[in-house]
Amino acid sequence: MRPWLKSILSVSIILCVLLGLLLLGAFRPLELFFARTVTPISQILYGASIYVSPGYQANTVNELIIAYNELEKELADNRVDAALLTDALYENERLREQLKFVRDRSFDRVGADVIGRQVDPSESTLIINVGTDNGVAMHMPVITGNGILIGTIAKVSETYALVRLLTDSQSSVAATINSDDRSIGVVQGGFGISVQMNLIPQNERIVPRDVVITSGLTEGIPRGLLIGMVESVQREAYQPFQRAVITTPVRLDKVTVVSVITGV
Amino acid sequence: MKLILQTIKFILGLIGIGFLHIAIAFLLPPPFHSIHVIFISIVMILFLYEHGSIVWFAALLFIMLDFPSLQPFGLSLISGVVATTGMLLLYRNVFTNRSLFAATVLLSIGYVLYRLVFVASDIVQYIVHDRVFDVVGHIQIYSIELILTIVTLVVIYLITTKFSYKLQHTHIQESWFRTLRAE
Repeated sequence: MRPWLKSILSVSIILCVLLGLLLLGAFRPLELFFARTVTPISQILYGASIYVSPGYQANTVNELIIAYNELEKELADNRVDAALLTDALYENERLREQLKFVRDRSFDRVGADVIGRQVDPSESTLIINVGTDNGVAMHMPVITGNGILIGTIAKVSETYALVRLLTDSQSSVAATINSDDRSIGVVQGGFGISVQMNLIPQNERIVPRDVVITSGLTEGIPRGLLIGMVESVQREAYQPFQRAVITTPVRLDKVTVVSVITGV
Repeated sequence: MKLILQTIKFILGLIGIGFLHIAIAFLLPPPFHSIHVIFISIVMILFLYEHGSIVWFAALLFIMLDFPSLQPFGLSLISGVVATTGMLLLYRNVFTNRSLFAATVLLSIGYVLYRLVFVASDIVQYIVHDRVFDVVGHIQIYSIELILTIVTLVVIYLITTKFSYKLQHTHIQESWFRTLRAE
């Protein structure tokens, strides 16, 4: 037999055998073995990566001063917002009491540690140490803090799960802007560390610093989870929709602890 | 005894390269985290050992990439095996030497073969499941990955050549042309 024919034939056989084994689920023990052995090492490496490369780094003193001044300004604005919010919250509570309207915002959650992130640069994911054994299922929303949406479950095994971050190019979540118009749209990833809100009607007014939350229109994702703040608005006169660039309140790839919302 | 030692070497190599790939992806800042350690290892092992078992080795390495990936299961495995086979055949029958040029071109061709399968999968998913297919984004990400991987390979190759007696011999031992000539 010709050597090239022999090579191609042997590779085809290898591929067929591997595919057959995959379809028969023969790699399941290997996957479990991988999950058990890689998890602790991956967790150490991920922890080290957070330590090695923190979220923000200034290269010059000037950059640091500018960043400091911006933060000071933001802090002052936030204090004003907090005062207004407290007032609004108080008023809201009174109105709710009057209407005997009780809204329970406590979700069923499962806490998880982040043990790794994507290896392939074309994806934007996190690996967490909970899986179907802990009640986690596909498409469940994943939050950090007290309600900051970071992504949804995109792959789940018995002991681990993959979270598709909002910044992933395949991510798509229905959202609304907390402005007078209550604009609705779709938050999509694929733009580096920021996300974009698309399909916002052209006639609605959006300004930078408007808060973006989930609209509840995506199945399984409750309304009111924080997505981020409007950074800039892109409006073309001839387009029916406008777009907003959203900055997330946390660096999604630097998160260490998350919660999976298992029941709304 | 020799077989046992070889098996141990095979397994240790597999674990070492797998973890090095993950460590690079987690620890290095962007864009350096996209350096593809597995492809660099395949080219270096191919140059050092010239053995067909590299395809098995690559299959086991690439299957490790399938677990923490959102792509359909088996995609990394299939594209990795196809790429490694292509590299092996080209090395034995077209390049037939161990020069730096051969190493970089082999890696580039292997990488393109590997990513072509991914792009094909993305196109299928775009047509069937109406998923987003960002052509420009993909080209940017893959180009950066390829360039950084080639640069790293060049550095590693130059260092290894200084210490490896085998790599200083330019011509390879096995080739179809030689086999055909012998026949």
